[in-house]
Amino acid sequence: MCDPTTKLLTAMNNPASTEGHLPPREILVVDDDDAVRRGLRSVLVTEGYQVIAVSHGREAIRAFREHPCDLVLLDMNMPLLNGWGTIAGLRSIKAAVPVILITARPDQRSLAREAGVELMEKPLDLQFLLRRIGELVPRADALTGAAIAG
Amino acid sequence: MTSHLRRRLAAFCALVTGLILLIGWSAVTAWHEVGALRSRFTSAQFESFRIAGQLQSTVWSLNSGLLAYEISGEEADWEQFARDSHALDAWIDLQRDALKTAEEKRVLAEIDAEYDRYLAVAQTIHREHGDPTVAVKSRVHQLETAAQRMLTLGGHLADAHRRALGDFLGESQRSLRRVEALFGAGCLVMLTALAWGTRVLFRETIAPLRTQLIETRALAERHEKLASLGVLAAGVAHEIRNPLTAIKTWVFTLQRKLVQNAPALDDAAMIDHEIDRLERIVRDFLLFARPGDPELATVVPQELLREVGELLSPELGKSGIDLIVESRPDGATLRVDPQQLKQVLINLVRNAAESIGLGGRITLRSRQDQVSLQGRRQAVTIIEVQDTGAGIPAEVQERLFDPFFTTKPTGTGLGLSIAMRILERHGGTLQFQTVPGHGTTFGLVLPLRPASQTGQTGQTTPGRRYAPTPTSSRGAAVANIRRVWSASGPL
Repeated sequence: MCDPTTKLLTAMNNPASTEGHLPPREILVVDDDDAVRRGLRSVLVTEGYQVIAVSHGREAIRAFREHPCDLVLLDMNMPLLNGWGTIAGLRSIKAAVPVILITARPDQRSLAREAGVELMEKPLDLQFLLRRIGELVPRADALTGAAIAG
Repeated sequence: MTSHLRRRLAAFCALVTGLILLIGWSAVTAWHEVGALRSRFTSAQFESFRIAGQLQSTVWSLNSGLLAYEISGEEADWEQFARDSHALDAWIDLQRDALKTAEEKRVLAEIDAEYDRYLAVAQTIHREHGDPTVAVKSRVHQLETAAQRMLTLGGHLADAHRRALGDFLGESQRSLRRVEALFGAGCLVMLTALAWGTRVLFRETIAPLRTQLIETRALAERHEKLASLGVLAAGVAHEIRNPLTAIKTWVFTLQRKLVQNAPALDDAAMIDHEIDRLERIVRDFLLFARPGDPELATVVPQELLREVGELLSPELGKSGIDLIVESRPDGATLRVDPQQLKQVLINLVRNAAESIGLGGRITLRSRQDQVSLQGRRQAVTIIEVQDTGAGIPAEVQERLFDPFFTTKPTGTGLGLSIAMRILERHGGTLQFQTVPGHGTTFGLVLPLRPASQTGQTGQTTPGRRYAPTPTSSRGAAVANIRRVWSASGPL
């Protein structure tokens, strides 16, 4: 469980948590823009994910150390510690953690490609984002379905 | 100032300096030669006075010798007389060759005849020396008469010679004056030619360079503005995209919560649509303000056109538009960013399709040419998009490349501006030719050596006159893109 004091872990309206044998997938949302952070949390929760939402990189690393989530949705431009620094911190804790960078700036694509990190530009194509998250961290119901099919 | 400009300026200055030095050297040399000639002619005038003097002194010498012999009767005096007479013979022979005019020769002949008479008298004196019957006074009188006549004739010869020399010198002076006049005229002509040559050289060499410099400066200023605009655009995009993302997420959540067929779903879809529109504007503006650096790859133009044709043919076929890719394999390759070029071509083909409406033809082709680009003639590949659409009205041509100018209800008005910027980043330019009612041809002019290899990325002189592949005899309304370019300058 992530830091309870931040009261950022949300697990409302989460049908996935009651299905299958695996616990709901947890996603760490990091964005300094309050409206974006809350909006993304709302979307992900609606889709059945557990979400920890924090507002900057250092807080994200602290939260991730206490509770390594399944995937990180990380804003690029943040005060204190930007996306690149945050990725380094997160991967020092869990090297294989999938990270999707999100950015409102237009000049990050080639950097992300060179670093081998997936990048999506704001405003996000939410359908595509959810599909990619589903591919990177298959949900319990999907895994169960796959097991049955297998 | 580019090194090219410096080289041409140096060559121009060297040429002009060389011409001036050549003219100066010719003038000084010719003037010196004419002066020396004049001096030689002046000194020649004095020779005429020497002729009379020489004859006079010789005659006096003969007289003195003969007188000495008459008084002393010694043979040695007679021999002295004989030597002097030989000297006078030699002098007469010399003058016979030296004197040129008929008058001089006539007077010299008279002198010679008189001299013969003088010698005859002298011989008589010698023969009759010591004879008391001979009247010496009579002989001496004959001798003096002959001598006096010779001296008079000597004076006449000197006069004749002076006149001959005078005529010759007068003629020479006139010739010299003519030479001087000709020389002056020659100098004037050379100076005029130099002035004309300088003017032509200036017009052909310096003036275009100055124009190029002004254009380059204008472009540099424009790039500077665009660079500032790019920074600004990135900041604005960041500030707009964050709230857009937030709105989008809340609309998404709202749509998920609404029951199917609820009227509010339509409202939510409308908000979603407008968000997309806003994002399209931001994206296009960013593309215009700061297009990415071209990722250069070796591309065969025909391949590029074929890919675009395959991509768009099905879509255009629905409107009855034939998309034809003319095959002209010429072995040419380009160093360009294929994705960016494809983006430009797709944009132009879609514009062409909208111009046609229903039923028509769009032709894609590439060809080689020599055009003026970046201020100099160079080999280029021109990729053409030709349509049979409605053409572009004159008032639209004026503003065709202006950012945010559009004639479409849903366009951002940045498509052609972005296309121009992309071509510019490749060291090329975008040009068009249109005939209202008949169609339009856009030409992507790309240097065979990309700008990045020449160290002039983005330093493109925008299109001059564009001559597309001749396909019909109809008239051509050539658009001056420079004017359009200037219009889009003060961003």
